[in-house]
Amino acid sequence: MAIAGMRKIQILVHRDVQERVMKRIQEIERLQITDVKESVTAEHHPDLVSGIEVSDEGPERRLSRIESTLDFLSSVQEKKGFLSGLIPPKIILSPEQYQSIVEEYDEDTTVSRCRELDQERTELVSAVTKLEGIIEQLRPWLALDCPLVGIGSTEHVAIFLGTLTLEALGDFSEKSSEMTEQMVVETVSQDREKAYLLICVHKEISPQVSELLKRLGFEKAGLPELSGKPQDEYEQALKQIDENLQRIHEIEDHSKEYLKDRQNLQILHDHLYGQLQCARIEAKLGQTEKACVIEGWIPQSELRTFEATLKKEFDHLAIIPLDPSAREIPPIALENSQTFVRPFEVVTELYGMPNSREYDPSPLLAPFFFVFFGLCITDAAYGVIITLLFLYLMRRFKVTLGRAKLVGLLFFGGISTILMGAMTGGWFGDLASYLPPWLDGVRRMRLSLMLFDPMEQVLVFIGIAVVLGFTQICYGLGIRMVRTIREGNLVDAFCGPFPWLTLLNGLVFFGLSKGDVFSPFVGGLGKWVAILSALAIVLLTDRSSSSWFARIAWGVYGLYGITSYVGDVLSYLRLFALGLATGIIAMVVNLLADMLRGAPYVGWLLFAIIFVMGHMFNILINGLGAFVHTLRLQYVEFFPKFFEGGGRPYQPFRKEARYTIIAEKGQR
Amino acid sequence: MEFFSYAIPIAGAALAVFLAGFGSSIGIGTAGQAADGVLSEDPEKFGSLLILVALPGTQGIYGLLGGFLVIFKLGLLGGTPAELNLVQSWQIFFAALPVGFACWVSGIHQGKVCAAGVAMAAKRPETLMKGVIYGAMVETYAIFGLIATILLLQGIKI
Repeated sequence: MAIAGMRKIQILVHRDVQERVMKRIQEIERLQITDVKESVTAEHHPDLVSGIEVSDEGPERRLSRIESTLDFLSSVQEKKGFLSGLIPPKIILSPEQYQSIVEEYDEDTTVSRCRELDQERTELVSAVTKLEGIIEQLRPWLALDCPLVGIGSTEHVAIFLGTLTLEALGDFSEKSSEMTEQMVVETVSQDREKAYLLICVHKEISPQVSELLKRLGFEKAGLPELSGKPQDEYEQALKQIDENLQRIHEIEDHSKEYLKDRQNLQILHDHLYGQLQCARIEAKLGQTEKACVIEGWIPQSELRTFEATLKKEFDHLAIIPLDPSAREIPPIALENSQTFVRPFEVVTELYGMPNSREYDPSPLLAPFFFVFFGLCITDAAYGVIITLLFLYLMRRFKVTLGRAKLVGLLFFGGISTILMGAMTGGWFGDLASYLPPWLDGVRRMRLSLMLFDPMEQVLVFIGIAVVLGFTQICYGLGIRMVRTIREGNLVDAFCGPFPWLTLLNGLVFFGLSKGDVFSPFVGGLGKWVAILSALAIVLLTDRSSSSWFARIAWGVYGLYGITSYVGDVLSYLRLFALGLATGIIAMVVNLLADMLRGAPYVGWLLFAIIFVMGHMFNILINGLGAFVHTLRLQYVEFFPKFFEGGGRPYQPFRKEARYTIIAEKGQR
Repeated sequence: MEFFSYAIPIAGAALAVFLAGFGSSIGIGTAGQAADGVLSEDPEKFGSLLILVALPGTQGIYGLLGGFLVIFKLGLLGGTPAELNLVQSWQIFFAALPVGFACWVSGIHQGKVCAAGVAMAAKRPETLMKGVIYGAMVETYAIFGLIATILLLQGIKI
């Protein structure tokens, strides 16, 4: 139940070594640095100057140049695999390798060369876009056999170049029929809607024609100013595009030779970014003429090692524990020693941290999460696949993922799925029933592990879901009660969650006695407990109110809250629905695969394809569903019964490395 | 008579499948468009946004499930088809409706919530799972529809 105890400490160092100390603190990754100006220290020492914000323009510019080079390089490299797209592989280095690259590698040539290439490529790409525009414009006019620049009015002739809709063209020929002698209309081309026209008229009638055309919606052709004939220009542009594409290709090929520098650039990027972080956090430090004050939070359990490490490396350094003022609320870190519980911390962290006065809910929800996840899938074979997959991920990306809790959580989910699947007899759905007779042993084994068949005994499955839900809700109320008692508020505990616990359980006993599960005596007892509890809720919900009327009104309203408990329990039915859904979809996949098996020649191949793809899809979609809905049950049904939250997560000052991991030899 | 008595429950199964598929298609469409917009700026987010885009897909599956439950109930796939009278036919028809309609509407709205979640995760990637949970809230009612259909079909005696 552990929320780590936090200590606030103050570190005093000489300003000469300040930079090195900060770098070391960043490497140790244990101290969450706070702003000295906002702490008690500042109140007592108003003369303390806050650290000067160093102008970080220089390093920032260098960093952004490296970043854009990396962007450029990743745009020319070959496509990555799907897995490395999801989990980008990191560069794993020993401290010595890292140091030597950071000190010796000079990025200037690569960066400036890549910049040139990038620029050239951008220009070419925009040239291609422009040319494509020209081609689009020219296409309808290809049949025009004269240079575009030369088209214009002469002494006696006016020329109109443009488009009319086909309908308008008909109108036009009709209305201009008496002018035909002084006019030539040539249709250069036409498509389904428009005709592209060259109209030459004598200057005398030009105003009338112009007016007529305007009325009919004549659109003047916006043609590029080109000296050649459309056909020639068109071909020219096509050729140009080809050449440009060719050149772009060459540039990209050429850039590939810089890909070998990519790794070094990435390492340098992380290094510079780390430095930048160090420089930026300086604003939070306090400074006197000679000394520098660093303040921050550290988990109690880490303090001793932290102190020893720093003291060993630096002579002029003092670490002083502080008494934080009331408004300085410590950050929250979860600290569970058991391997089984630790992955479940991620559930709490996703929701939000508990505050410093309450329990860490992770160990409390762990068993429920475990069971629920499996129940949502209920297929042992799927469970085996999920377990193996995450086991593989844990081993393959051991360093990259660190101790990624989510992977561990899903690994446990896989194990739970195996157990729940075996219990309900799901092995790739009903695959067992397709097995040939000589594999009867397998079928018997499945049956011997199976506790109930969810397809046949639907009510059993529903019962399990409801019982689990009811248990978790009562458990949540119980946790709240225990916590209130531990805090010393006995009255609150017995007026708040306690009557609800007795009311709910009383009702259940009463209901079950009606179903002949319990004797009428127990049922009667349940009934009276429930009635008394309901009375208690009405009377005790609002104890602070002065008027009895308001008190009882609020109490009755409080009792109305029982509907939400009913809703909560029903919400757990999703376990049943999701569990059954997986089984039925698996059945359908088997059915379809089996139908195709009868196909001539390729039957078995089709069978294998449908079988594999179908079940993979089912695992994916139901795995997602199981995870999301199990989370939801914790957050929406379980947490509100006892959880307050509102803690700020503990974020130690550390290097945010995007590409690299520095590992000691033993870690790899 | 027999022709009719089969057409009615089959119509129910068809409604369950296509209404739900309708909802999921619209939902995934909405969420997918939002995600594509984000990917154009930041293709690295593909994996994480995939969850939000896939979430409204479940309604279609529940509908399909409902449809298959009806088909199994009728014994249309292998085995001898069940004998039905007109009342039973209508019972099965109506039993198939909850999953269809609930999934239809919930799929559309889950898509909207997920699209908003995509926008949120684009700005603050650490909030991704919170968006997913809000999406899952909408799905509850699709699941309730499915539960109603399962229980109703279970209860109809043939």
